[in-house]
Amino acid sequence: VFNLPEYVVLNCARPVLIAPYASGEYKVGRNVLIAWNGSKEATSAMTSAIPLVRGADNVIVAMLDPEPQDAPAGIAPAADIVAYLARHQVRAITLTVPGAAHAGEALLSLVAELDCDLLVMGCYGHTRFRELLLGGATRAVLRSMSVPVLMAQ
Amino acid sequence: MSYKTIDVHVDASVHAPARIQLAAALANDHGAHLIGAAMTCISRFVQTAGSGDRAPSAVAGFAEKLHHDACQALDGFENLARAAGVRSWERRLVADDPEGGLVLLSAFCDLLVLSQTDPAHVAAGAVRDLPEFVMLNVARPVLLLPYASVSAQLDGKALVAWDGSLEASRAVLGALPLLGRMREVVVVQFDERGPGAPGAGAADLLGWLARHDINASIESPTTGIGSGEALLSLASELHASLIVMGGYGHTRFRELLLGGVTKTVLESMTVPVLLAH
Repeated sequence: VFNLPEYVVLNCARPVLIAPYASGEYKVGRNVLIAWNGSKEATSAMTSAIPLVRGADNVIVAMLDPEPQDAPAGIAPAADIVAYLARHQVRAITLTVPGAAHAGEALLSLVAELDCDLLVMGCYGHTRFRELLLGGATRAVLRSMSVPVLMAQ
Repeated sequence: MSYKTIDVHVDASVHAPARIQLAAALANDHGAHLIGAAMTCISRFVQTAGSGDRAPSAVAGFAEKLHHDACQALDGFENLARAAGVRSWERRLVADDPEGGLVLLSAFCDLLVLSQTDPAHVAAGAVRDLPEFVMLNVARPVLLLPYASVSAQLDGKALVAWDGSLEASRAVLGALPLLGRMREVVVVQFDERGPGAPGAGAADLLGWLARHDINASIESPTTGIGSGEALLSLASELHASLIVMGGYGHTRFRELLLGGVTKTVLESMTVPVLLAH
């Protein structure tokens, strides 16, 4: 099934802001959830969201199933992300989210639970192996999102 | 978007001081925090595979020496950062190989500064294609400095090699803060269909740059620049002091075609090159 937002995100070098079809007036970017799993895509999405989230009341970086071997001595992803964003005048907090098997559903329920009005995440396609694993989250969010989503590849 | 965190690769190479000095000058220009990153050169996977937190005793002495070298390189970084008057900097020792450490750290910076591989000075344990590996595996622009000579400042003329691809589009986005400080920006239409071929949208690129307060011009070379050599000679003809271009590897089909340009530039560049994949 052809999916326009997904196609555009996967084929351009810019962030794409996707509006949900559910009606409502959106105040984009008061409570922001940034999904981060260490991937290139998530990193691009986080950075491209900076101009949009600088004035937000709350920015929460959800760290999805961070694997211990991904952080050798000298790197502390949670602290490094907070410092990186702070240098861009974005005050963020981090939240560890286990269970990446259903990352899409996990993100959507976090958005609802935390009353977020913007979700920022990497977009993964379906061609390569790792995209096969991660593409499910993209699909789930695109199918069931109820708030605007900023995606980047 | 501005550069607020700049990572510079710190090692024992003879080219490290020039690299650190240029990164320090960039940090000062952009009001950025400067991270000097030295790696222990032992993969994190080796370290976690052992039973304890130290490498097996047979290689412990070697590991000790590598650790000592990295710390010494960071001392050098510290002296240069202080001398340059960088307001905010930190030394970072990462327990990983250079390529792994730089890729992981890149998530928390806006620009990575590395040196071109110098075939005459490949240090023990160094990875020859480090710049290429890092460029292909990070979501950040990589500023690569030539080993031949590096001027202390980045100003003058920038050449943007534009072929309308995703990679070129990422490179020019990642270069925006640098381009804003160049005296002149020249966009060169980089299209295998020949000079001036329609469709690559160089005119729209100029409009986009103008909205970022960058006035650029389009240069149409009389000969095509479909090869790395042609791109480099055009850069020297134009007296460009910076090249901005998309970077390609060699794995996939379309990269097989375009990877040749990247490879030639990585081997023969004489001015700084900003690459993005």
